[in-house]
Amino acid sequence: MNLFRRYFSVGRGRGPAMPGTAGPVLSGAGRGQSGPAKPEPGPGGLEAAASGPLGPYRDASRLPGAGPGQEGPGSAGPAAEIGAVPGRMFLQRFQRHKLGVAGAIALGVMALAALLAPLIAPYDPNAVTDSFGEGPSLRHWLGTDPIGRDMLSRLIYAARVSLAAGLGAMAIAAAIGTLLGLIAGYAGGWIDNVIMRVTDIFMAFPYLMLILVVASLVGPGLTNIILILGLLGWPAVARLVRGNVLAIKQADYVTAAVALGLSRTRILLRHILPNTVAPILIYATSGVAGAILDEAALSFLGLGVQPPDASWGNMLASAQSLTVLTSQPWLWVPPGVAIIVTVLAVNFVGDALRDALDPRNRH
Amino acid sequence: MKRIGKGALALVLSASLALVSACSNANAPANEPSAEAPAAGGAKSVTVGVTYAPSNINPLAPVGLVSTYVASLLFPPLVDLDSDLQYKPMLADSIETSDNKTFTIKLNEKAAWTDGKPVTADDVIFTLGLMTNPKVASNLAYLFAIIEGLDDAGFLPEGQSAISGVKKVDERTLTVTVKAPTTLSIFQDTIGKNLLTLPQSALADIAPEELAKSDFMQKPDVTSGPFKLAEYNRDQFVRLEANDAYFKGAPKLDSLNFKVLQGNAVTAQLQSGEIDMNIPSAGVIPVGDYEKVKGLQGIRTVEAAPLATQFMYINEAVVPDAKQRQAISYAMNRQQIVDKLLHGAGEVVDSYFTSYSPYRDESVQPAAYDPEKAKSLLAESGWDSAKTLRLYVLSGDATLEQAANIVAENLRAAGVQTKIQMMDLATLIDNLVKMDYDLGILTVSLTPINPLPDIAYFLKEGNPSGYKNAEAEKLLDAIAAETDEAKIKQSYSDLQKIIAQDVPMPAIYATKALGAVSERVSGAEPKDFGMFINVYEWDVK
Amino acid sequence: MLTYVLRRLLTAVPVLLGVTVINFIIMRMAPGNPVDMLVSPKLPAAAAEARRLALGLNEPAYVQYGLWLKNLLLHGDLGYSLITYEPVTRVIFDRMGPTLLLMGTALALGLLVAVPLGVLSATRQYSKLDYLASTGSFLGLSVPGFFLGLGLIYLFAIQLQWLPSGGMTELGGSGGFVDRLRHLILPALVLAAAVAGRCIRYVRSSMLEILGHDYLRTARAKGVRETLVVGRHAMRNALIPIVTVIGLEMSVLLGGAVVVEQVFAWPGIGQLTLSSIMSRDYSTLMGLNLVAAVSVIAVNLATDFIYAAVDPRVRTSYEGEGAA
Repeated sequence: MNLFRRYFSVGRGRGPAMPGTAGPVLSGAGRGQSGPAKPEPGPGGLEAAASGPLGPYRDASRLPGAGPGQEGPGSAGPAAEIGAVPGRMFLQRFQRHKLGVAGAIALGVMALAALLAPLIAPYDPNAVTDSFGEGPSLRHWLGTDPIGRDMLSRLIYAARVSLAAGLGAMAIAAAIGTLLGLIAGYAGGWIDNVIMRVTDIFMAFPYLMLILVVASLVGPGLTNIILILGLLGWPAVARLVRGNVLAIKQADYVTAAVALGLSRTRILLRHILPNTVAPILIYATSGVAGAILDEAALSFLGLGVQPPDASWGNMLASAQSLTVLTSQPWLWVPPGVAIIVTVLAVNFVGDALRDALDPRNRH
Repeated sequence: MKRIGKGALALVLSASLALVSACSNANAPANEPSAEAPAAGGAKSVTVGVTYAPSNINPLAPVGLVSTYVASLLFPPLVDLDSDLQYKPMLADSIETSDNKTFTIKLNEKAAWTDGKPVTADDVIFTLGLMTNPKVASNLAYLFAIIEGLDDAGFLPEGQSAISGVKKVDERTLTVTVKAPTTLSIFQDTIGKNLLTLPQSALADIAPEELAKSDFMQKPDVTSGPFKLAEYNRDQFVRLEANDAYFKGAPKLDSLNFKVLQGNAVTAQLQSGEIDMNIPSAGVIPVGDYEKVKGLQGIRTVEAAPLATQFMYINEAVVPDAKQRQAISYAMNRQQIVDKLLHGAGEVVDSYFTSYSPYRDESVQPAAYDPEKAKSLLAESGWDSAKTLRLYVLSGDATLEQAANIVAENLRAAGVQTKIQMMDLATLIDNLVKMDYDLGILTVSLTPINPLPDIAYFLKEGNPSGYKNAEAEKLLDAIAAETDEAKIKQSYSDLQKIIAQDVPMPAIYATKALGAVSERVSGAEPKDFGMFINVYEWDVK
Repeated sequence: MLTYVLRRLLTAVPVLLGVTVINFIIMRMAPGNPVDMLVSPKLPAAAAEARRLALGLNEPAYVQYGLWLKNLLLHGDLGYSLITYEPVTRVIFDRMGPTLLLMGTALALGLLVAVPLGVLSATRQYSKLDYLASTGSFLGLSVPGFFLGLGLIYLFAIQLQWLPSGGMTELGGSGGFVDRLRHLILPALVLAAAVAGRCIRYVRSSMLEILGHDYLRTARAKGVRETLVVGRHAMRNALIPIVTVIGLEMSVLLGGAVVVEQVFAWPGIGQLTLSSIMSRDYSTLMGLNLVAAVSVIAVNLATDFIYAAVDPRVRTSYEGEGAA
């Protein structure tokens, strides 16, 4: 028995040890009332957030260790340390992660191509040339699509869409989620209760299903997709932030600030927010990857970016005919590879960030 | 500690196992396709691939093409249109009129329900009553509005119990009187084709408003057609079994199946033999696959008549000048779309009449591709080239989407900026009807026999373009009142000349859908009209 | 424990209610309606009105919602599909089986790959295997389901012709176990790849965490064989959190199923959702979203209950709060 006990007490709020304590979906209200009742030794904050692969799950806070603050937050030690990872050290650590560096370079190239698209692209991406559905040639390196548009140019322009969707959606989600999470975590009481309940409602919907319904209702298009993904993506961030705030609130320096009579806003913005930036950043990278995939899926289903604009998803959607699949691989392989490479790169960068920002990685 | 640890793990395992086994259990009764399904060997069966789901089989309110095909196999119409545009007798042996006012319908003497009772004039009258009952709220009722005693929407006015224009003569004969003289072909095209007779004995006790939800309409078990419903899984397949008592003769096939597929799967499954044939416009083969299908071993292909036509709706509140609309028509490179995108499987058309229509006036040629003329027309009319028009396009058809991209490029080249927005049918129609659009591209299939209701809708008061031309309206009224085919043809011809000038809603192209059928099947021809008229003669080698 | 369960169940009620209200509002904001879908625009206004009346769409929205809720609570009735007139409960129930089968298989397959790989790569941290596993998991995370689906169709259905390209059973075929299995393989593989991608790294870090614990060091120091340490002590504890993963997968898989079912023409909930959206079938959509929300919440509650059963402190935090 004592082994088990030990495992749990160490696991509390730390790493992937004890998921039940990490704040189940519906726990918001109850937990909010009880507040961070049980200060228990054990790292919380970022370290926990950083140790599990949070990315793929929206409801990251449910994952072990993701939101220690929701249950009985541990000391704010590590969370406070994060801010203390100095820039140079961060860079050194990041560089150790070779795939992360490769990902960053790939993303950089991608971003550059997207920015300079008008200069790089050999053709106007929407111009209909007279060669319909032709294979790669010197004139068209990646061939042309079924209505004679240059595939390479479209591929380059589509990078804009994917990156904009990924970054834009995550930025909105992170902004809303951080704000609500900060308020909920700091204010506590009924405000926390209400915010967390709304979060629960949003989380109870299967994500993609909800997005599909909304996209069909407000009408498709890049702006709408970004808005939808952003406006529906915040609950996970809110939970993450709230959990961290609850943890940090217990930290000595915050208690001290309160004792000193500093204003609430000031404490929130000056002391608490900076210390939750790292976990948000880590979550955000996987969020960006997710948003890129979601945009591709929506465009694939015809509810995404509108023609004639190219997106990797809607370029792939045309690959649903047998002839294209079997004898026109230039129509579907490049956009598919582009999505995979981009998402992989984002995920690698996220992984590297996690390692670099994790204070436990002292080696 | 061990106990708890083990317990938790066991819980997890058993939970996941329960989940997995629960799935297979829940699944078994719901979707097991018939243990009694005929074994592949021995029984003769043909499978038809369709790309639209038969969402219901309610003959009073069919949803979509395939629903109508299936419903018509269970409940034959009075007459059915064949591909030669002639009406062939089905449930009715004959429909005759001497004065274009009263139509005498004689039912097939052998027609019987699967429960043994004969199909009688009472059944037909009962079905007419349901069709025109506002509580049933059929979406086909308006086609029956020509019958005397019904209101303009085709409903029986409140307080009346019977349609005054419908009379029973004997057990197998009835007469229908119309409000104004009408040609036989229009009568056949509205009532003859759309009235699928239902069994009074099985439905008499069901309240009209409950009809659609009734078990009978979910799975009709008293039918009169060549096939009986054996199994119905609306988004997957329909399995029909031969009705040996069919009044035209027992089908040679044992079963006929409809299989719901995605477009790309039609080609693959024709190749693999999973389906034997398609219905050209209801089992759409993607244009890009045409060459591949034509090259398939053991498959014969048929090019269907040009029917589905893509129209450019123009909101005249936004594009008021006829010159501007002409410019739009001249700017579109229709020939390129037909030659290169459709690979020739279509035709250039710019009005309501394809080459399939008996009313097409060959002297009125479609507007040729002439971007220079388009530019000068726009310049003359003082078009503001900085203005961006919203171009709404029907979603779900990849070829149409690609054509819309070409059109948008064409328009841009001529100086009309557009912004494409793909829309599902519900949203698109909503916007068109409210005239909350600038340009719209949508597929419309006009019935070749009697295009009047459609054309009148497009040109008369309340049309979605905001178009108004007194002369055109006069012609339409004349056509409606005329029973002489030659004069009708002349009026349609005059109308085409007006349309060519005013360009209210230019067509872009009409597609010739591709039909394919396995050489295993004999007697069957994939075609949009009349494909199943001779279904009882189909056979497999 | 009972108090805890009851409390948690009670908190689910307002959430579900909120889900239905938001659902309803979203639906009614939609442009277009099922009447437009069913009728041609040529239909006289009177006929469209008759139809609207027949569908109950002419009532104010809140009345329609009240009626819907009343029928649901009193009769467990979700109404009729506005398009097919089939009872919504039956439509959803029919589609539930295939989706659960697909999700269950994918989950099982994914875990079957992820657990051993995760454990192995944790015990051999920084080995080639570890490296490979984590790259593989990233790949699983990064390949869009529809792309993988297309690729698999191309390879196994078109080129090799080993497996069918879509559907759930062969029409007119045996419809037996083998038939269904053949149809299940490809879509399940696509979903399973994502499951495995998400889980491998999770299992690995969970395992690493525990391997580093003192009691295992003690066990090792006492000379217990490494396989025993890993197999008997570490793995068991590391795998308990998998319960949470299953809970999380529920909602992710439901979303993924929409796309995969579309690509493989799998007759499940996802396909029904898409077609209901396209035809503006409000009542089916309402039912679908409700069922989805209930399943997500139920699975989450279940995982929490399992933990509460294992760890008394979870529930005492609640009970203490209740007493206070």
